[in-house]
Amino acid sequence: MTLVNMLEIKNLSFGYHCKSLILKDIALSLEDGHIYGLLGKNGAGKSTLLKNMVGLAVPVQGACMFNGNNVAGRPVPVLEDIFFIAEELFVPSLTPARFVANTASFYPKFNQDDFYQYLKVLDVDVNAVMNKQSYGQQKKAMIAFGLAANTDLLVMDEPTNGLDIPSKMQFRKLIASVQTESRCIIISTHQVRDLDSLIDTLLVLHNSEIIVNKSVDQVVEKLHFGMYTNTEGLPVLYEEESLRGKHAILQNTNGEFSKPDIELLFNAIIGNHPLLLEILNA
Amino acid sequence: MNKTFNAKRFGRLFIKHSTEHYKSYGLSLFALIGVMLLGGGFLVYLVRARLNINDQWVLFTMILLLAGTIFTSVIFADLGDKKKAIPWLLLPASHFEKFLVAWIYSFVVFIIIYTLSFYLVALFVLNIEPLEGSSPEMFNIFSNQALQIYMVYAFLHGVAIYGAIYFEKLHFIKTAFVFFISLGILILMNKMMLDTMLGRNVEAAPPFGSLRFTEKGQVNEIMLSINQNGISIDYLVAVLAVFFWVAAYFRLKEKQV
Repeated sequence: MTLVNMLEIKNLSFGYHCKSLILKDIALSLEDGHIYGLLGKNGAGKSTLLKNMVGLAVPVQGACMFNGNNVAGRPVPVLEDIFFIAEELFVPSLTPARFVANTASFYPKFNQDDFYQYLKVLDVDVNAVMNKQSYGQQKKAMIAFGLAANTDLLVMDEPTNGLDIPSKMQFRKLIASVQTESRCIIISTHQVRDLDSLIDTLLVLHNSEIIVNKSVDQVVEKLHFGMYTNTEGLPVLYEEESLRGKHAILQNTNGEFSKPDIELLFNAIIGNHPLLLEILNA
Repeated sequence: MNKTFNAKRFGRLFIKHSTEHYKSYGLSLFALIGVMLLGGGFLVYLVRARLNINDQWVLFTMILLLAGTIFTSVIFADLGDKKKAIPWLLLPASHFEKFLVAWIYSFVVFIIIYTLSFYLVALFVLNIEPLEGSSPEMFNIFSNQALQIYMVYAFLHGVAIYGAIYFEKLHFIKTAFVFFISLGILILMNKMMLDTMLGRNVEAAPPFGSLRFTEKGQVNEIMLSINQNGISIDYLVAVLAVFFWVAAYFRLKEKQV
């Protein structure tokens, strides 16, 4: 089967007026059927990269192509197949039902039954005016709308911010259940633990560049994650002390798969450990 | 064509815009009628006589230009708020359709609603109290004078809608500031150019305006012959209005968050 590059980012650089570049020469190919986790520290440029992906920001160099169309001009066919849930979102003074009546028709693949089903799963009141609800409820309503829009590309910027613990669990379950072969989901977060069981491909943005672009399978093929009481004599690439012992990352030399600890890996990557990066990107 | 304009999609966008803004537009209309009543009532109180046709024209023009440009300045206010700008820019409709909805509301709908409201208020003010003077007389909106006022509004609307997209906050104040500064510079440059060309000191005036100078104690005024019936300046204003509308549309297309 030929894999389709739904989103192709070609040598993209971006910066605001007269300032240094926030994103430098980024090249990425994102395929359908995947859930990408875009990780990076606060201020790394995750949101800026997502805005470039959906056409809200225009690169100073390079381009972002969605199914062969440049997203920079925000052409209607591209907008009909992209949904972006921003970190700080706005909801109008309408009930979800009224909002759907006004807005859903702009998305050709929108499914109303799915929308009401997702609202139910996320425990959002259909008859409550959205901007009178808590921030978490507003966010869940927009997540339900974004999923029901059935766009090929769904981009979410820090979707779990503002959600309580049960809502985060509902969110993870829902995303996992709606993922299809034709949909590409990109989730940006700095709260890695919220999503580490959900994402299948890891993108790490650091110092204006994507320094890791690997599937979780590739990660565990190359690295071994474990908890040790003592790591002396072990070929440790990175370790963190905890009350129960040492969480460590080692090179996977015997081909055994371990459960990846994405937060530990993220800390190792941004903590400047060149050998680990070299092994990972080999 | 479908990518730039689709009648069905435009209709849906118009309905969506109306549904989401009818409350604020209703309140604005209420405030506008209040201003008209206050303005008209205050004038009647001051002069203790019915508003004559000239007074009505002055009030009609001043409130139209002021209220219209204020309303237009905030028609794209959502673009200054990132939270609101994101869903608006990413809504699957073309920039042209989005611009057209705002243009229709701030120009066509505003003019119709404003004119009707003014007529109703004027009718009320003229008949509220028996006053000295001739019988109530109302100005004629289907006259050349009204057309010229609407043309001036079109030009200022173009400036205001460009400023509404260009600036992110305080749209009206910033647009007005830039407009008056630019106008001042233009008048100054025009005067300097005419002084140099004619070798004499002429009075400051905008381009295509009259040329006035004093010679041997006598004030002379020269005007373009086609300017005397107002045709040339009308064309210029119309061209400038279209220029600013087109510039605003392209500015919207380039908008980033």
